[in-house]
Amino acid sequence: MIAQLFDKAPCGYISFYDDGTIFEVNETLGSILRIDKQALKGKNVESLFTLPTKIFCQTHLFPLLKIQSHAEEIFLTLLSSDGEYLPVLLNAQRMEWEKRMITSCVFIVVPNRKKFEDELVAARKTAENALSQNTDLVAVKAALQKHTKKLEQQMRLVSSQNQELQQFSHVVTHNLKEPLRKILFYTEKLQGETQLPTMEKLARSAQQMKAVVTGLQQYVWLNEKANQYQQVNLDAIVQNAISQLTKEHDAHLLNLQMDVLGSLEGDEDQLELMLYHLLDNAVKFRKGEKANVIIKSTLLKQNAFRQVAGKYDYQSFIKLEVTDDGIGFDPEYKNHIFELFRKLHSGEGQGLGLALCKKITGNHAGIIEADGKPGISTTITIWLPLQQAAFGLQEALPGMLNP
Amino acid sequence: MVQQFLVRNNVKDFGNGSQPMLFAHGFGCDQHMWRFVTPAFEDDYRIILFDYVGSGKSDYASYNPERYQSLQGYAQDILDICEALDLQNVILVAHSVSSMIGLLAAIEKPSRFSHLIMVGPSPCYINKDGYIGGFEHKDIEGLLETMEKNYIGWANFLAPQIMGNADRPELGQELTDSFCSTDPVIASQFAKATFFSDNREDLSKLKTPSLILQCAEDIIAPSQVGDYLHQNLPNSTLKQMKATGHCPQLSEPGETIQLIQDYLGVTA
Repeated sequence: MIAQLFDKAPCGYISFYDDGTIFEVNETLGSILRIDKQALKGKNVESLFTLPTKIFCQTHLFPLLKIQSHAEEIFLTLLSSDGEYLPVLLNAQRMEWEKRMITSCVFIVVPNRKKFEDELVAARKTAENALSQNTDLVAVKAALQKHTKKLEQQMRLVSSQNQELQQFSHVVTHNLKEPLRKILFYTEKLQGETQLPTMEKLARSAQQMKAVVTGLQQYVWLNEKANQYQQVNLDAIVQNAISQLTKEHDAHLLNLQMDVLGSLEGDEDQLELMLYHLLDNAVKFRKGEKANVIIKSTLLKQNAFRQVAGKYDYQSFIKLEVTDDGIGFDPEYKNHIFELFRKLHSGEGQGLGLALCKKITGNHAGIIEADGKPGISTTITIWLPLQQAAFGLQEALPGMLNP
Repeated sequence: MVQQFLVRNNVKDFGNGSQPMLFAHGFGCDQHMWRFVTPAFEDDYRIILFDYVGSGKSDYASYNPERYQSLQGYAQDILDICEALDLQNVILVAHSVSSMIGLLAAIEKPSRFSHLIMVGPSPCYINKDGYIGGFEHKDIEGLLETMEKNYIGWANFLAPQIMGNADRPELGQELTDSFCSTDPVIASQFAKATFFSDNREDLSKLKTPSLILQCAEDIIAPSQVGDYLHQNLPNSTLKQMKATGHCPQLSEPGETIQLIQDYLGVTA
C-alpha cells in the first residue's frame, strides 16, 4: 500500500550512494524520464542529467551535500530517454541508510516556473547591465576628470623639462664635440713631438671623454628620434649585434647559447643597439677567457598597466633573460645599475650601456631588471610587449618629446 | 600594502612546519574544500589557505571585473599572497581550475615554487581543433543558465540552517555563510574565465615539477585530458585515482592525502 503510494507520488523520487549508483527510484520519476524504473537502478545518477547540470553538480551541488548534507530548491535539468530537457526543482538530503551513506532526492518538474524564471532572469540582466553601465559610466567620468587634470599638469611639467633637457643635451653633445676634436687633434700632434708620460695620460683622458660624448649622443638620439615600429625578428638582430660586436672584440670571446627568441613589434635599430650593449657588457665584464652567455625567451601575459592602480589589461610579452658567467655584481645595487654613467666596476666601460638599454625598453613600453651574484653571474631580464598598439606610445611620445 | 592582501584573500596561515603548502580552491567553492586534507599536513608543513577575490569570505569590494576576466588575474592573487607572506619553496596544491592558475603563477615566478600538485586539472575545457576537453560552448552556456536559475532561489539554497554535522556544527554553519556570500555576477564571470580558458600553449613553459591527480569518471577533467597534460607538462607525474567525480579531497580525502605524501616523499 505505502509502496504503491510512494510509486505513484506526484513527485519523482530517487536515492543514490556516495559513488552515484542509483539504489531506489519511484515510478513517477521513471515516467518523467520515460524509462522503466527497474532499468534505472544501478545506473549512475549523473546519467539522468544534461551536461551543464552535471558540471553544476560536480562544482556546486555534490560538494555542498558532502559537507552540508542537504540542499533545497535547486534548479536542475533532467534528460529524458527521448532527449527532452526537463527543468526540475530538487530537494536532497544525505543520510545513513542501512550502514551506507545515501542521498535521497525528490524532483518536481517545473516547465511553467522555468518560463517565469527565464523572464525574471532576462529582466534582471537588463537591469544589471543598465546599472553596471551607469555605475561604470559615472565612475569613468569621475576618474577621467581627475586624470585629465593630472595629465595636463604632468604634460606641462614634462614638456618644459624636456625642452630644457634637449637644450642641455645639445649643448653637451654638439658644443663639446668640437673643442674635444681639437684637443684630440693637438694631443696627437704633441705626442709626435714629445714623449712625456703625461702626454699618454692626456691622450687617454681625451679618448675617454670622446667615448662619453658619443654615448651621450646615442642617448640623446634615443630620446629625440620617433620610434619606428615594425615586425622585428629578435634572432636576426642578435646576429647583427654579434657581427657588430666582433668588429670591436675577438669573435672567440663570446660563447652564446640561445632559445629561438621569436619576433615582436619594435624599433629594429634600437633593439639591436640594446642587444649589442647587453652582449658587449657580458664580454667586457667576463671572468675568464670567454663570456658564456645564455639568452632565454618566454612568451607570457602581463598586466599592461603598471602606474595606474586598479586597471588590468593582460597583454602578451616576450620575457628575455640574458645571463652571463662574468664578474657579476652586488644585488644591493640592482636599482642603480641602470643610471646614466653609473659604474659598479672600475676599468672597462662608461656606465652607459645599461642606461641605453633602459631607455630602449622604456621606448617599447617594456621593463628591464637586473640581478647578480658577485663573482658568479649577471642576469638582465627584459619584458617587451608583442604589440605596441595597446600602449599608444606612437601617438603619445613624439608629441611629448617635441613640444 | 602587501599586508592588505591577507585580509583581501581571507588568508589563513597555520601549521608547525617551515615549508609552505599553499592550497588553492577551484571554481564553485572556497578554502573549506581542503578541510579534510590539511590536518594530515599540519605537523610537517606551514599551511596557507585563502579564498580568491570574489569567493568565500574574501573582500568583495576588491573585485575588479577587468582583472578577473582571465585566469591571469587570479594567478596574481596567488603571487600577491606569496609576496605578502614572503613565501619561498612553496608546494602549491591546486584544485580544478586553480591548477592552471597555479601554472600561470609558477611560470611567472618560478623561483617561488618547489612543486605544483594539480587535483583534477584541465588546460582547456572546450573541444577544439581535434583536442577533446569534454565540453562544447553550448554546454557552458547551459551551466551559466543553471547557475543563474539557482541564484533566484539563492536564499533557500544557502539558508543558514542547522545541518547534519551534529559532531561539528560549526562546520556546516561556516560553509553556508561562505557559500552564501558568493555574488552571482562574480560567480558567472569566474565560470566564464574558467571554462573558456585555454592554457595548452603554456604547459611547456612550466619548469616546476608537477603531480597530476586524475580522478576516475570525472566529467570536468576526463582521463584523456590528464594524459594530455602528462604528455605536455615537462617533469610531471600522473597518478590515476580510485576516487570518482571532481572533488577527491571531499570524496576520498585519505587517498588524496596518501598520493600527495607519496609524491612529496619521493621528490622532496
